[in-house]
Amino acid sequence: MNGERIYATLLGLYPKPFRARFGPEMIQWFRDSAADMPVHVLWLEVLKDCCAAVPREWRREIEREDGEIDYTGIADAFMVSLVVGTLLLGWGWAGATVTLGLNLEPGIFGGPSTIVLAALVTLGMAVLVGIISVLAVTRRRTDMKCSQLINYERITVRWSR
Amino acid sequence: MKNREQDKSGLREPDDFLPLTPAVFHILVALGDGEAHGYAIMQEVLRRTEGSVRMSAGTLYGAVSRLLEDGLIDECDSRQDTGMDDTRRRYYRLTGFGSRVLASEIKRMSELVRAARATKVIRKMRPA
Repeated sequence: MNGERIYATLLGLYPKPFRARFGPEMIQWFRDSAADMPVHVLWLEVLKDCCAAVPREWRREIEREDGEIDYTGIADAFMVSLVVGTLLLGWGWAGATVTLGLNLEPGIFGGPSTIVLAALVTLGMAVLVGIISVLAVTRRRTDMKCSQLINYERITVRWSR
Repeated sequence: MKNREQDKSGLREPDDFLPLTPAVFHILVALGDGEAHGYAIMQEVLRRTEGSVRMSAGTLYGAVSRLLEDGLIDECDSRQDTGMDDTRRRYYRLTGFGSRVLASEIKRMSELVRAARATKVIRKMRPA
């Protein structure tokens, strides 16, 4: 039963429309296969299959004209993470450099050095920003989409008499 | 309209789908004898290929999804088995268009094999 749960979780890697349509059948396939073959062989097959099939189904879903997933939102989340995360890393790097310049070694807690701590805090903040931006985009709380900024329309001037 | 059939994506000829991928070919052949559910298709492919081709769920249902969209197979309303887990199973069958596509692929492959057999290399390989 546990194997089935793990397999059901793995199915989460597939695009939602595919999962919704074929998920129950795939779980049934797993159940049937589990009765037919050794567990380690089955899991090897499952992992090999995931490596090949998951990217293929995502590619297919992205190329579909009637896809149900809002890829613009995902692109926005990625861009927000990239831009803000890079800025944070830059600030972190600058902060670490200043800290080293002021000779504040050893670390605050006596454990890791200050530069490692600064890097970890900055990385954590970058991850946090990524999570927040994904949540903001998925809940449609963003006012301006990054994709609109990047793929901006050409500004035209209209003359009026 | 002799060789043209209305598939789900518009007017397409069977030759438009050739060559078939190995997975699609095996699935169509497995459905050649009648309707079957996913696991039965996999078992049939395993039997026909003497264990050399084992299709896992992602490959199998990915191909089934494409075949459904292209109208080469469709889902059956009736159920053959009435087991405990049967509610999860869906049965698939070859459509008329799917049969034509399969026939075209078999013809194409036969011609390839015939052309290959006509070469000197293959003639030399034949037992005396």
